[in-house]
Amino acid sequence: MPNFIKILPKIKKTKLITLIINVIVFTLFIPVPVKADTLLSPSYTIQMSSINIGAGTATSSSYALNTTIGQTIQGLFGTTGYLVKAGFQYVHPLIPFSFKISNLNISFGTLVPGSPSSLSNTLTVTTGSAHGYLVNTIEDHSLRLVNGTATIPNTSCDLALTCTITDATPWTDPTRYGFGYNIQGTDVNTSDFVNSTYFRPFPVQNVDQPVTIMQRNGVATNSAATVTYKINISGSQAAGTYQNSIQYIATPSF
Amino acid sequence: MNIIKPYIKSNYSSISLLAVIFTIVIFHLSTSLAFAQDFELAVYPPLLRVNIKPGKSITQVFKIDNLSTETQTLVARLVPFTGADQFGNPILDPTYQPKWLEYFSLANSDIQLGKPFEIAAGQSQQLVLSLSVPSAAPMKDLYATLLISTYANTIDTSLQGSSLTASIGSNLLITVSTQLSPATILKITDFSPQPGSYIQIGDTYILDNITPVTFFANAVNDGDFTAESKGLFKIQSFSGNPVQLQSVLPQYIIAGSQRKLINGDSEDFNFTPSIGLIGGFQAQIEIHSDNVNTSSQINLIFLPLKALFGLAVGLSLLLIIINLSFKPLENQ
Repeated sequence: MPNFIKILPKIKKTKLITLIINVIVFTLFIPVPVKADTLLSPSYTIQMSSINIGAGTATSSSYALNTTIGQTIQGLFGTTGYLVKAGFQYVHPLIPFSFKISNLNISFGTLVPGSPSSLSNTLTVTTGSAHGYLVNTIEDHSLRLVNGTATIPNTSCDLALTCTITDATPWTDPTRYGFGYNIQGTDVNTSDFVNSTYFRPFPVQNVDQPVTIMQRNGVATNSAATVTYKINISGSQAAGTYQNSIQYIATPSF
Repeated sequence: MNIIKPYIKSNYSSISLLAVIFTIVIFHLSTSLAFAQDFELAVYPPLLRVNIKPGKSITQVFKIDNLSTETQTLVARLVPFTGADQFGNPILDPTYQPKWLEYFSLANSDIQLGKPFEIAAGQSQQLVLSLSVPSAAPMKDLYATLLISTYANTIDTSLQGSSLTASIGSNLLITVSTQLSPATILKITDFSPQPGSYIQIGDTYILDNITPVTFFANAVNDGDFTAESKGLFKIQSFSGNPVQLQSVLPQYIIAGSQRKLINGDSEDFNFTPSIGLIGGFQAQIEIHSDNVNTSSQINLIFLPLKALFGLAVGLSLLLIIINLSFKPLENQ
């Protein structure tokens, strides 16, 4: 009997531990009813019965299934009235389309007439599951005096062979003034930007169409190109701070 | 000594004053280096294809990842497009503002199209795009790109140079129709071997039977709805026995556009003939998608052109050698 009394607390302890484990297991695995109804979050409210959201790669020892984002049951166009396909089923894996710019502020600081200044940054694109991409660029206007009208004109490169927004030519003459860019790297038109001395002026919004500076017709992973911005002013350039805004637009192919 | 001390003191004061003035001047005149703000954004999915009946609605989540090292203030907007290049890159037209843009909105309670919102560094945001097509909407395709752009309403006045803005897009191809796959008109054009690799007589291309050859083709959508380039490229004998089969990469060809066809490996249709391949064959591209069936074929004749040329050169050399060898004998 005394021995039994000694054992009892041990049994109770074991039971207690078992009970706790059971409670945890049942709490974790008990089915929770899910209702397809109005979805609420601090950031959005959806009052629709179907929301299309991504899946991923399902694997087991006997199969691997790649899925794209899409409605749960396809082929119900007749009853639901829509069919949604998101992403590209034939491109794996399902990685997002991404675009990176290493520096958004191209600040030349003090400019010296007749002494060209250059700055660079890097554009990087990963197509992910898209099948190709392009990067276009356009500026809002030429470099313009803050609170003024004076401008630093867009470059036309060396006089011997002038450049345009779609045709790069050498710009090495320090007596040729203006603002332009060179681009070197992956997915760049190297037959136009032959080397680092070849420049183009930026296209201007409401005057020109955006110009393509990077393009690939297929999957790209970390395709990177370095843009060099060059500025050269004349001695008669009005003093002050000159600014503009340049836009880079990266779009995937469809 | 007593005379010198005040002199040194006043000299110290002057030097200190000059140093302060110099520092102030340098600070004012020196280049104000702008902080190197980076930008990295990712969007998924990069493409949304929807077939929808008038009077119906759908929603689609677009996940935006801010991969840069600081909070980004962004703006989401829909920019329509009506055309694309032959590689499926949309030609955006921000000035085009069709009425159907009103069909789209964001279901997010705190984010609207055209209004700035923030994503903290390393964080993601889901944009819940809602498309509600009115019952009286015309049957047509709607093409737009969801552009997520950096937002800046002012530029730092001390910046001497350019402030960059970045945009990243995801394409939307929407077909509004009562039918799942409304018919369209697709043509295969410019189907031919690589220029310079053949001799053309009429509609027949004569090719060398040991030289690899590349075939090019475009698909032109003259209809009103998007088509898909699902199909097959094959080279077969006139009796129908295939010697080469390649899948055509399923790509979308939007209404009124042209697209270059490529194979399932995203490459041109390359074919390496064998030495025994001699005679007449056909190269054919067939497109069988949900709303269009079309095909195009060209006649090919594979001949051992290089081998014959080599043989001819060899025989010529042999004849010359024989002639040269026999002439001295005749002279003797």
